[in-house]
Amino acid sequence: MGFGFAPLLVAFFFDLWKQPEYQFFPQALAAAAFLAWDRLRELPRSMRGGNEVLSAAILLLSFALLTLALVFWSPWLGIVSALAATISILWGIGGPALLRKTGPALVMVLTVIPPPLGLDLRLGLFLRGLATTMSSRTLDLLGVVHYVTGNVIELPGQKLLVEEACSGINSVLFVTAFTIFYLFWRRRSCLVFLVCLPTAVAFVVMGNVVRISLGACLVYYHGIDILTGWKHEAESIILTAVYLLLVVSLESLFPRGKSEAPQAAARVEISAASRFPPVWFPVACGLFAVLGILSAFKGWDKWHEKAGPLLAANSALKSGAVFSLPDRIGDWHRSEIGPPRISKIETLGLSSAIWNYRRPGMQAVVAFDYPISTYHDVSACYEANGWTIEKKEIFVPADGVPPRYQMEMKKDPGIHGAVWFATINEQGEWVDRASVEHDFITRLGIFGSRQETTYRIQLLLLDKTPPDPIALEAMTKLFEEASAILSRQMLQQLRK
Amino acid sequence: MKAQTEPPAAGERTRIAGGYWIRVPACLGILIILILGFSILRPNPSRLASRYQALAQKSLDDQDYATAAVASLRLMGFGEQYRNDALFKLAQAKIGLGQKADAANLLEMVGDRTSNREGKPPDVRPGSQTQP
Repeated sequence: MGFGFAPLLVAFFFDLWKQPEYQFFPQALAAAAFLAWDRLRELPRSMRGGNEVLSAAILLLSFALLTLALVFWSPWLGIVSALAATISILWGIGGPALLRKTGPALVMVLTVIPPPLGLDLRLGLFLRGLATTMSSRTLDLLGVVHYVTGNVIELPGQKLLVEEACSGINSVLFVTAFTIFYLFWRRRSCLVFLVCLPTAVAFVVMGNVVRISLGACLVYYHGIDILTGWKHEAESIILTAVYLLLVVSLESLFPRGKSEAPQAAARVEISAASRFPPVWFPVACGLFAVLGILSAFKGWDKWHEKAGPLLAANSALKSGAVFSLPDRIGDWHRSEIGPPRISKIETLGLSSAIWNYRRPGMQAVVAFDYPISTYHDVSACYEANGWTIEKKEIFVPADGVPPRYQMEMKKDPGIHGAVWFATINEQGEWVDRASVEHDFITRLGIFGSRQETTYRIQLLLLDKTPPDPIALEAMTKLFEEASAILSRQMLQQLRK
Repeated sequence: MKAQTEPPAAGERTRIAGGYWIRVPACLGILIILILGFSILRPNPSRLASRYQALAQKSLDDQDYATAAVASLRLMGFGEQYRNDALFKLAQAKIGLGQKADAANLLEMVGDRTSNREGKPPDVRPGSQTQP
């Protein structure tokens, strides 16, 4: 039966390794194995199996989930179905007693499964904002002159970017998993869990605030940078050790109740021996194995499919591809002078071509950003750099013009920005509308997404007031003309 | 507490070595969280704004334009009553830093908010009102 899950589990852990915040998963799985071994020693040698119908029902659910995972190629559903199958087998062998004993190990496994709807990413963004805000207040207390815009702390003469690593998301997940393991190992009650888990997260947030504030202080007063390079890495290691010590110390604050003591290994023989495996179990194993074989073939295909576009991201465009826009589009004129640096256009691709345009009373920037792996919504980049997005909508013109996102934003000192962007793939399809239509499924994040290389055209208009109808009309002309020219140039320069 | 005074029951895990000392880091950590939380959750915006206003002016007087720019940007976030003053100081700082195009844009914003378009700084005395 294990073979049925193997291809999807390999894909799941392979993907997980690419996410720095989940790279602790080998330790978490080892901890789960240790907890299972620790608890299983206490079970009687002969166990009473659980209700066979329930066991079969859970296994059937697991089979359905695995089939879905195979059809949609969702490693996430694969590991969920594997967990369901494990629960079914544990129930069949030892009933509630065995499930209770292995519960902590199963919970440990859950700590390495990213939640759906990108909740972990949202937590990361929230923690980054929280760390920046709290650090700003701490810097005020320490008398450091600074200005916060998005996730950037600006000091006189330099900027500190509060990266994901400083925001604490990596440490939060690891420290949470460690706290769960430690409290299970110490056989603590639910009450201790309820107090220790939030406090452990608070320790991590506090540690990051101290790190950022101390780093900014040292830069401001002594010109010493400890927020980059090996010093940053060393700090991370020291802080992690401190967090673990704090968790151990925190647990020791709680007196032990009688129920929290481990049970001596039971030696009572239960007369009714487990009836597991039931007669249908070999058939179920065979079905799971068939799914495993199909998964292996699909995984092999996916591996090649995935490698293809990644290579394409670098090579689909002919080397030395050039993009250009005319000196004049409508009543817009190319200009060498760009907008103020604090209002720069946000780009993400490996390459970006940028053109500045002006017309009386207005300035705009057109950017062609490429190649982008799959799809990227640029609004998060603007928010991270201090813009407040006041309005965002997808606009679908009726006359065959590409659909586009339209955003209105605001930023100090009194700058109003309007950003329009549209994304095209190498097949010449405009993909923003599709990303909206499939938004829920995409955001659910449990189905594997189609890998493709995309190119984004972006227009940023800067003004002292929100764009009026005249400005919007001028923007429309510039954007549509620039989109047509750049998309044509892109498709012409692709390798056949 | 009980574990400190009575011998551990049979099968109970031995308490982690270190006795009371092991509890000190957690107590300190919780104390720091409380102090930080208390200080952070009680900001005094008007005092901070006054500080940044004075600092921006002093930095301009000392020709420390980088500090003046950051202080002015920060001042802008404290509300509309500081905005014109902050914009004007920021423009002066930008001129000092050689960013004349940025400064011109900022001065236009100051101009839009005041009736004084003769090159004089806006009236930012407490209680003064800008004219449309």
